[in-house]
Amino acid sequence: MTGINPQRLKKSYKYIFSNLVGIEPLVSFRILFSILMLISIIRFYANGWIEELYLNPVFHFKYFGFHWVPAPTEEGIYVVFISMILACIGIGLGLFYRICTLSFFILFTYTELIDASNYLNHYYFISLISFCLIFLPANQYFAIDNLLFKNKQKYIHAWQINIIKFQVGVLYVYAGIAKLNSAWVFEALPLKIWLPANMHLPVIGELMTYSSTAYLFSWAGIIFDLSIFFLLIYKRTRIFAYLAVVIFHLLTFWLFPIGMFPFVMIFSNLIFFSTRSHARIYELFIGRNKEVIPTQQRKIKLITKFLIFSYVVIQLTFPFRYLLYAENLFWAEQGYRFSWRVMLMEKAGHASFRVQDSSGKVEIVDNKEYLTPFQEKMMSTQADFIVQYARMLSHAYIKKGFNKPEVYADVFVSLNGDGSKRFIDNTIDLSKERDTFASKKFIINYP
Amino acid sequence: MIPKRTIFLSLFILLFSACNKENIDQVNFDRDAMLTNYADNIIIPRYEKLALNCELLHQASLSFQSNANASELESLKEFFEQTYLSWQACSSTDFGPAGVQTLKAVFNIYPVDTSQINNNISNSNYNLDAVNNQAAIGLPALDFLLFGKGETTESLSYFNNNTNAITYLVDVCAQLNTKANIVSSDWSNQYRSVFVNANGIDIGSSLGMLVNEFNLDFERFIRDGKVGIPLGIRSLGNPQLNKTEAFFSGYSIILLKESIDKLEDLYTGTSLNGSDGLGLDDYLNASNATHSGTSLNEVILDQFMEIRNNINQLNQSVDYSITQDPESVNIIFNSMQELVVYLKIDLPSTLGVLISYQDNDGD
Repeated sequence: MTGINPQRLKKSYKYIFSNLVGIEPLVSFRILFSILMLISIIRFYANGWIEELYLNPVFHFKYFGFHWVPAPTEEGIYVVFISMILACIGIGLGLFYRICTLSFFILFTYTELIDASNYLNHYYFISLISFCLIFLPANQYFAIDNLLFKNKQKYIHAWQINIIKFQVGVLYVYAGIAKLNSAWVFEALPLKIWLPANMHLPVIGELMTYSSTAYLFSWAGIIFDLSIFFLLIYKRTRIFAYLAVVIFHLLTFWLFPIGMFPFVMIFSNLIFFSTRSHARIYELFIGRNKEVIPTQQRKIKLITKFLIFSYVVIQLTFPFRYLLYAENLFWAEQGYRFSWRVMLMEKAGHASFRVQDSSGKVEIVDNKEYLTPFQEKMMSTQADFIVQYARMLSHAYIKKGFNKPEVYADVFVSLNGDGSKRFIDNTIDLSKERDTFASKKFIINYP
Repeated sequence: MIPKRTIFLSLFILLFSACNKENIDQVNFDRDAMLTNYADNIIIPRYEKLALNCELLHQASLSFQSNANASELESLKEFFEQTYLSWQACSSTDFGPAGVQTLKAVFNIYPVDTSQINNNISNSNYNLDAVNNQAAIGLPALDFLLFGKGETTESLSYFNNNTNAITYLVDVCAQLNTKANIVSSDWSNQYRSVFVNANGIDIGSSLGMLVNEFNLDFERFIRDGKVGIPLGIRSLGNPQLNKTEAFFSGYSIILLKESIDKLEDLYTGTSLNGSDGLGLDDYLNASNATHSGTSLNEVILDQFMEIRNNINQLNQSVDYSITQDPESVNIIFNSMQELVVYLKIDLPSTLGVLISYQDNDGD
């Protein structure tokens, strides 16, 4: 007779949540995270993206609810980036850790909120992780703060490590769930388009041109995403799972332009290794830690429990908000972002706007006057950006002397290479529409 | 309870049986051979032809300088037309050496700034490479000098009374000749191997540049520049006739036709002598690209045909057609707009080419 055994339940609760465990995995995570962020920020600057993404645009797209976020000035954005570098160094050294994590979280999130067309899932991941780090005691060991404040603490509550494992797990499992759609499973799309493009690569180039390879990769991707979290937490499969993580992410790095994300994941996953494995590394530097597990349990405050619970529930439910919209998710992208839908579709669009004066005169907008090529590309397939842009155009044309300008858009989008189709109803004056969470009626249904 | 090993084993069998069921379905295409064809049979010959015509144009301008009579003027005009036509073939490949030499800005910025030209001539103190002279040089400047001063007799009397103007004319031709020859020889000497070897699909790859640049050229310089802007798409529907290409000579229609023909040849990988090599059309066919059930390549070719048919309805010049029958020009604009969608969305998104004019991470 099985059933819920209260004794067992209590045990697993303790195991996941309140048991005291060695701090080392969290400390390693802190250090690796800071190094990766430092490299990312320097790479971002070196690629000239500060200028291209924050300074060159004359108009910025916003997330719903964050229209108030101000665009940076030229000095301002450099101050932000230099502060982020200092914060990273502080996090890595464990120096003024709380201030550094807090400011890194605020500044990094600010740079993401400046322009929604820059959205990437891995930026969202970094915002979430840095938010968690503010509340985690990763500076209690192997940190300069130890010397300054004498607040060494070798054992922490299990949740303080598991919350990061949870976040990583959510990323993989939800990415796996997102792949369970007919295009991915039965047609191997978009990999069938993306892989053959890599025909020039040495050794594997020829292999990439077969559609069987696309099927193999699609299915392996699903299996990997859905299972890797569980294989990483289970001790006996961990080392093999980690090997798979390294191979998987290096392969994606080789085949697709996805920047630092593979490395962020490869290093983040080290947190799944046991305290013992991490401790061996620290012993090389500071000798064996002789502190024993304190016998007296520290209590976890009720408010802490409540906040962790809320965070977990939000993370688990928010990606499913797309179910509230009737339209095709990949076509309309309502409820698409912040849901770990990574490399899921090949999408391209072209948008041409007509502005009509009350006298009936028409002008066709030169998008390059208002948007960077990158912004134009992102706008052409995403309905919320199309509305924001149309509203901005109506203001710009009023300034140009237009009387009650109406804005219409001829937008064509191709999803997974199946041929361009009209995306937006070109008889609706978009300047009267609003970008909200409500369903966007001006999107033409996917045929 | 099923043993884990069995689960794994059956998963693997499932995976590999799926591979076997799939017939040998492959994108069988030699992209390297396509790039070689583009370099050797299309782009390099086009720049060589441009360079040769510029050379002849420059010679003709020198002959005109030593003997400013009607027949020299005629032959100068003839070489001007040939050069303008051969420029249309080079406009869409504005990367590599052409990008370095800013060839497009040197050859074909219009509308021309006639008062700047007149000032330069009367001051006879100018630097044609300076940015503020960008609208006072190139083929549009020649268009103005050769055709904007009246008929042959008026033109000749203008030049004979104004030797500075002839010098300016010669200097403009010399600049075109220099630039075209640098680009042509850079292509054959150094850039060819760079182009053929950058065989990937990233932002700096040859395929990426080729597709991005011809899209940029078609959208901004052919559709908008040659047709839309004169038609008034940026000016409340009020026509801007003087913004037509080759406004003074009235060659706008033959130039427009030529640019469409050469864009199509670039797309199909067809050389100057008409032999059809490996091009983007073959690449699309090898990738089984479709659009609403038919082959994407056929849809694109049909659209080229439609644009050509629409252009054939015009007579005299684009600006004249706008004054007589604006709808006939509007039809061309709309048919070009359709082709923009196919070339800018459908083509890159079936080939997996990144169409962005700037580098960025994806996810």
